[in-house]
Amino acid sequence: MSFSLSRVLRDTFINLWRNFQYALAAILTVIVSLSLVGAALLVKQGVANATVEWSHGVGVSLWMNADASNSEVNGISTQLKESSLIQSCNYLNHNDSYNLLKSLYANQPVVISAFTVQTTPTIFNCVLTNPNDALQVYNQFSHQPGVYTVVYPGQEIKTMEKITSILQIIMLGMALLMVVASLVLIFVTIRMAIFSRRREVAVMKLVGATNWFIRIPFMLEGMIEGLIGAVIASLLVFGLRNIMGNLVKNTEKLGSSGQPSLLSATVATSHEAVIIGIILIVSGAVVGGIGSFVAVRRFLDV
Amino acid sequence: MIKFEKVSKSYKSNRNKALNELTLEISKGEFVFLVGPSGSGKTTFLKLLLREERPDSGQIWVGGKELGSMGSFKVPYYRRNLGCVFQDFRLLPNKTVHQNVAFALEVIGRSKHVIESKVGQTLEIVGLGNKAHRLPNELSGGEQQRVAIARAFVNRPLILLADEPTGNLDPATSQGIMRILDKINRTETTIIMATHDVGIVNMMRRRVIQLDKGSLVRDQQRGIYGIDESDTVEDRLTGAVKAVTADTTESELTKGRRRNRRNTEVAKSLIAGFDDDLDEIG
Repeated sequence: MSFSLSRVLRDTFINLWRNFQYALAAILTVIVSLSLVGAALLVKQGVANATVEWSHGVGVSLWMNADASNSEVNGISTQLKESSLIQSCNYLNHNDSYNLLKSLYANQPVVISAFTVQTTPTIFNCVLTNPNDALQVYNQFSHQPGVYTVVYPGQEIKTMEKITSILQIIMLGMALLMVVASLVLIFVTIRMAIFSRRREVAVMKLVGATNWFIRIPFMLEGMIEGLIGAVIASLLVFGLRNIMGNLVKNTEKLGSSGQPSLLSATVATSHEAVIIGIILIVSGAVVGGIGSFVAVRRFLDV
Repeated sequence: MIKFEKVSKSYKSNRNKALNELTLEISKGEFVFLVGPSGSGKTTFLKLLLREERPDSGQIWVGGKELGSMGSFKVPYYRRNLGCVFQDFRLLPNKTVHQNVAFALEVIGRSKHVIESKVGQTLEIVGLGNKAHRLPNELSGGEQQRVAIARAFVNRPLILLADEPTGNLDPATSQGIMRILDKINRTETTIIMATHDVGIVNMMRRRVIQLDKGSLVRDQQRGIYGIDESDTVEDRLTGAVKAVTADTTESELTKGRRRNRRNTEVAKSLIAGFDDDLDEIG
């Protein structure tokens, strides 16, 4: 028994065309659901990237009082060197920190004029051995003599993670509902396709066409609907990534601080976007395949 | 060729058995009429042969294979040995005559070359060679049924099942259909035809199997339709007379004899009742 591929494909596309309205509804639902999945994955990846970037790059900053004595500064410096929590530190003296201040607030001369070299606090920028220890460093150093404050990004990252994880759960939940909707719609579409070809199917059964010969065009139809939706959804996700990327680039230009923006880390790389695209396309085919397989099993039995 | 052994079948919706311990045998190349009132089990008989249904008990052998125990993946290959014709033709309205017939070969994976030669040849047999590119709705009922017969026969099946193939056709057209079926029968194709068409059964004089409430009540070589209240006087008379003669010639038949005797009695009383008419006609 030879399956003629061209015949199977022709049947599939004739089905798609005859059921155009249902197929369209199914494809649109697949697009929406998989776009949501893709966006959720994009955000998840972005947050993961950002968390890594932030915790590695910044570590902890110890701001000294502007009028801290040399002995106080030396004491802190020694303690930092001896602490096992700290990997290394970079000390910005009055001049260095004043320069940083000037570059950060270049377009706000009012802020700069409020400081002189001597009134600008000196800063220890430290990299942590373990990024999660930021709170311990805070507790240990913030009440030491001469320390104005200890700045660490951990808390913000944690809040950020919490918000985005809730956001992700909501997005994934909605996406899941939409995936179920696409499954049902593909199921209905294939059921309609079977119904509209019931005469042919009856004749095929009668003259002894094998079950798979009858089933395959319908299953292919469902898979193609899923695939078309998935391809469009992944294009949308690529587009979303590029829009995010451009926005971040523009923000960086505006800031012109010279430092790499933390935001840039939140954009997933194009490599990651490709992986997300592949995931979406595979899930589209799977959703289409499952929906049509169930329909075929229920409505095309011998 | 075909052998039913104590085959019973009932449906969930109905307490009465559709077939009740039916036993019979049909040999290769026979032409069999299946008669009986609606609900007598004719369609069930055909469905069992098609393996659309399985028997509740008993065995059905076709060409040495037992249908009840046949795996469902083998059923399509089994069905390639059967052809099927129905009262309502069941043609595909969007395909031409040629495409309708070719479809039966395409979907079982025959090569284009084979399809071309066989379809043309078969359309000639049914006398539609000149209408190959018409659509079904451009044809008369009789022509449509001939397309259906061509589709059933194009794969040269061993058995042709026909469920009231003349049910929608006028008598003259029906005779044309019967001539084609007869022609096909002469190619050693076994034909089993369920029918209510008295004229045709009486004209053809082939084996008649009569079912009633799922049981075999008559199995007669060169038989006639039987007794039907709606027949004309003449039809009823010839039918009754032939039923009597038929009964005397089938003394070897053991199954369903009691039923037959009852039929005979009915026939005899009918003959008595119509004696006068007979005289007048004579």
